[in-house]
Parts: sequence; structure tokens; C-alpha cells
Amino acid sequence: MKTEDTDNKLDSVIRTAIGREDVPFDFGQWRHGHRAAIEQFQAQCVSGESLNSSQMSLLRRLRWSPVFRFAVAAVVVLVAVWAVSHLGSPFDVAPAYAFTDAPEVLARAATIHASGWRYFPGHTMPDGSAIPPVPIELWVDLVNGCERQTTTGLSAGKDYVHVGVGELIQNSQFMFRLDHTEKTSFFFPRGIQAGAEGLVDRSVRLLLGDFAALASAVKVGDEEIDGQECEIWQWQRDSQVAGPAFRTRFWFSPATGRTKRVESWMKWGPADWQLAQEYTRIELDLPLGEGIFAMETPVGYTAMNTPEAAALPPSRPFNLGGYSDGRCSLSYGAARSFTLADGSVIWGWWSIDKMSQTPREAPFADLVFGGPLPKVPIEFNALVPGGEPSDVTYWGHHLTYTSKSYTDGGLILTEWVLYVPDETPAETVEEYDYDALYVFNLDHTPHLKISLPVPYGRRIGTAEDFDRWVLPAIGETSDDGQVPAGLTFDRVLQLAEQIREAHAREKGIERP
Amino acid sequence: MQAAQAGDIDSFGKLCEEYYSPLVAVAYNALGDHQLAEDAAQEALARGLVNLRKLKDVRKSAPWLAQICRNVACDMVQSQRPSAAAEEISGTSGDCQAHETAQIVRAAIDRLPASMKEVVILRYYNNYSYKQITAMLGLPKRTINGSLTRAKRKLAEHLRRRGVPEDML
Repeated sequence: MKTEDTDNKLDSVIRTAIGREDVPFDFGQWRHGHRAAIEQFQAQCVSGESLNSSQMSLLRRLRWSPVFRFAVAAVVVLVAVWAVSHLGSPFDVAPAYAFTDAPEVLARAATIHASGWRYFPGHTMPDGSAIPPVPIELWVDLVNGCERQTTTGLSAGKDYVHVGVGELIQNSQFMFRLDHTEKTSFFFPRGIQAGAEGLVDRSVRLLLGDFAALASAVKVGDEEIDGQECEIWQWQRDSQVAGPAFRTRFWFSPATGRTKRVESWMKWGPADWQLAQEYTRIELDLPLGEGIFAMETPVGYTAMNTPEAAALPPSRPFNLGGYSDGRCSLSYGAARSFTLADGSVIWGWWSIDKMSQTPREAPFADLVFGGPLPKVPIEFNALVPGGEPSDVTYWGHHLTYTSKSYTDGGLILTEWVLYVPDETPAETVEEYDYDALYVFNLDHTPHLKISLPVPYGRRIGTAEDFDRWVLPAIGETSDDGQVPAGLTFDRVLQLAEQIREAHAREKGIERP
Repeated sequence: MQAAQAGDIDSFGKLCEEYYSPLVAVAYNALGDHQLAEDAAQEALARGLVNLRKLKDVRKSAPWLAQICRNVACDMVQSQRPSAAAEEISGTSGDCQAHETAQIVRAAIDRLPASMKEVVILRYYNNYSYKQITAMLGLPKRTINGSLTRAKRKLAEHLRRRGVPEDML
């Protein structure tokens, strides 16, 4: 039997063999190198996209569940009995709201205006002093589906702190970000929650946080604001294994149902609670000033893109993977994918071997529309449906290619491919996306296994869709933003049909 | 995590600082290269951020990020030059016996079943506590303990057969 002593010796041997000093992490540097991911995430946040459905709809589900209705009815009866016995007739007092009505009252307003401060808990200036808070403001037009809010970003290192301030304006079509620090403007496409309903949910959540949490809030005091008696309600969540604890306080007027003030606090471990954000003034139904939601680049600012180009997120050589074995140094990445109404797929991708002496343009010489793909180091020559095993294979045919020079990736040539299924794919393909197949065009077989899902992407049903979504996606992977001439929806559909006929002939299938 | 999901990048930064080191260890398990492991961990954090709002159970954020990191690392699997790595890890190249023992230990760890190997790497790569490993892998402490005990038993047997002196075990 081993003793503690022998275990310790073995521990020491293992630690000597593989142990390493703690790995430092510089979030500022990481942010700098992963701007695309951050921008994509921020776009999701402002559009309300992708927030897991359990959080999104909990209050709604609670609201309609029989148990909840019964509980509400019971509470109402109890409150009524208590009120009659303590306050006299219910007809003597003004109608009162419960704190859980707060989201509904906000959602019924025509406009919302809120202002306050954002703080930076957990961070200090290099000299240890507090980082000055940033004033924030929120304007929402709930009738017409427009919103304008202050955004902030902080990057900090050992000897620097950088606070970026901007604004995000959105309407039913676009999100428009003004970066007041960099003096730039940028258009983003609206997410899947475009429309008034999505806006109401998102705007109310901006002020009140997670609706479901309100049900567990407790009353912690009273205070008068602007001559109105307000109840102070508090919701708190203790810290998890990693991360801070959260506390939100709401000043709620039971007479009007309005939330008058909101404070958000954070706390790490045994440290004191720190204020993260506060809306000190929340007003409903104010008239809207002119130009509040105007998407115009101010004088002196640089427009980074146009609304037309904003149909798709900014592209950069997003490196999906890499491999190096002394004989090659591979990188590969993907652009966007689309599924045409006939079931074929358009997908752009790239691969390079940094050790290769061959010019990167060389494999792209003499390519023809509908012909074989370029013999680049990793050739994604086919797709298969994701999910359950399938006999269907989508074989790739060259459409066009684009080239773009990146500061952090050199010249990237993106191959745009039409993948046509050799049989009718299952309907579940939309749910499970596709998996990429590939071959190596190298003088040796690298020990690299690629598992690369390809999104189903936006469905392209018309020439208008094609021009609106596909062409700009291709254009964004070229230096000049232009799409090589001759690429049209009709031409791509014709090619797909020719390929399907060829597949049918090969298999001896008679097509209608 | 909730603040991060709501769009607070700084809160996500806190998570990054918390998880980066163990993620490097998770990636190192697959890649066997410190630099690539750091690249994989950074890429995993980027993919995690993009998918952050899809995470339903924030309590499972650590194992969720670890799985993303495994996927990234799988895509980056590479065959490294053992001599270079050995020099880097064992320090002085003149200490031949320590150098050789380290190589034998790493080879033995490589032979462990994948799940067992990951626990060993997390435990010894950066000296993580059982509690930290439990949080990172989303497994009960009892399971971690069992894996480590079995792994160490296997390692000791392997090292013994390879002639590593008994007083080192």
C-alpha cells in the first residue's frame, strides 16, 4: 500500500515532467486580437440574439402557467383581505401595482428615457485610484422600434487603462455604432429579433435585467423620489464557482407601477460590493427630440462601412485551425455559407501552408466556372449533412475566388464553391447544418483531423436574395469589395441543375 | 457569467482570467505543446464568447469552455519534435537523468486513457486543486480522486518497468 510519502515523491516526479508556472493572461491583448469575436458578441447582445430561450421566456411561461396564476390569485386575495382589514375599503385607495408588474408597465410605454452612470468594478487606474464613471443614456421608441444607448468598453493592463465610449443606435433594419473614442461609425445588420416585440423585451431587460429574477426579489426599504413613495426591492445572486456575485436594487413606485431607479452591484469574494451601473432617472412617454435615432456619421468621424455592406458582419481571416509538423504549417478558415432554395450550398473557405514556397495565387490559375476546385493545401471538396449518417454527398464545384490582404494573415484567397447534393437531402439538414469533407494537397499526409461544421446559413430563394446577401459576402473577402464579374443567381442555379443531371446520368436515374 | 452573457465584456474578462490557465492545461493535454496550447485556449475563449449567449446553465460554464477548448485543440493536433519540448520542460539539458525521467513520465502520461490523462495534466500542469479540477471538468470530486489514484498507480507501474529508481516513486 502506498504511503503519503511515496505519493508525494511520485507527485513531484510528475510535476517536474509536465509542470509549468501559472500562465499569465492579458485580457487587453486578447481583446485586441479577437475584435471580430467581440463585435459579433456585442451585435448579439444588442439584438437580443441567441440568449438562451430558458432565460428569455421564463417570465412569459411563468405568467401563463396554472400554478403561477393560482399563486397570483391567492396572493391577490390575501393582499385584499389584509388591505381591507388594515386600510379600510379598497375603494378608498389609489390602484396599486405589484413590483412584478414593473416590466409590463415599462413595455406599455410609448418611449423610455433613462440616464445614469456606468462604473468599472474590479478595475482601478494604474495608480490604484478609481476609474471615473461614464455617463450613460438610453432612449427607446417602443412604437417605431428604435433605440439609442451608450456603450462602454474597458481594456486594462498593468500600466494602462483604456475606456472606450460609444453609442449604439438601432432601428428595424440596422444597428449603427458610433465609437466616440476612435471616432468611427459602423453599421451592423439587425439580428433575428428585429421588430417591435424584440425591442420591447430587450429594452426592458436593459433596465430591469432578467425578468425571472424579479420574482425572487425582496423588499429591503422605502424611499421617496420626486415626491413619490418608492419601495426598494433587491435581487441578489451569490457568486458561483467562478465569477462575482450580483445584486440589483430597484426603486419602484407602487402608485404608478413605474421603476424610478435601478442600481447594479457586483462583488468578488470577500471584497465589498461595488457599484457597476446605475440608472438614476427613468422617464416614460417623453416626447422624442429630432435626430435621436439618426444613423449619421458625425463630422470628423470615419465611416467604416455603409448600410449596404452591413448586411453581413465584418470579415477577417478567422482562423478556424492550424497545424504544424516541421514540413508544413497549415491554417484554414471559412467565410459565410448559404443554402439555395434548390438545396445546393454556397460556401467560401481558404487554406494556406505558411511554409510553402509556392505563390498562394498559383492554385487559382486556370480555374473555370463549375470546374474542379483549386489544389490548395486543404481542399474542402465536399459536404455531408450534419447529424445522423446520410448517403447524400454535396460535391463541390468552383464558382469564383477572391483575394484580400490582411495585416495578420498575409494574402488570403477565398475559394467560393457551389456544393450540389447527389441525392435529395433529408429535411433535417436545416437543423443539423453540414460537415465539411476535405483532402490534403501536400507531399505528405499530416496528422490533422478536421471537424468543421458548415452552417446552413441564410436561405437564398430569389435573385434579389442572392444580390442582397451572397454577393456582399463574397465582396467582403476581396480587397476592393467587388465580386468577380458574371456571378448571378440564374447562372448558379443553371450550374446546379447541370450538375444534378450529371449525377442522375451517373446513377442511371431518369429525371422528370 | 450572467453579466457577461448580458454583454459586459469586462465580466467576460474576469472569466477569461479565471479559466485561461486551466484551459491551457486542457489544450496541452491534446496538443503537448505549450505555445499551441495557449493559442488553443485563446481561440476557445473567442469561440466561447461568440456562443456565450447560447449557454443555458451558467453553472456549467467551466466544463462548457473546456469542451470548446478540446474541440479547438483537436483541430490543432500536431506532431511535435519531442527533443525541443523536452528541453523546454526539463530545464538544464545537462541534467541527463532528470531529462530522461521527464521524457519517460510524459510518455507514460500519453499512454493513459484520455479522460484520466486530462485529470493528470490539470492536476500537475499548474498544480490545480481538486476543487478547481472538479469545477473545470464538471465531475464529482470522488471521480477526480478515483481517476488520479488509478492514473498514478498506472504511472508508477510504468515508470518502475522503465527502470526509474524505486525511491523516486
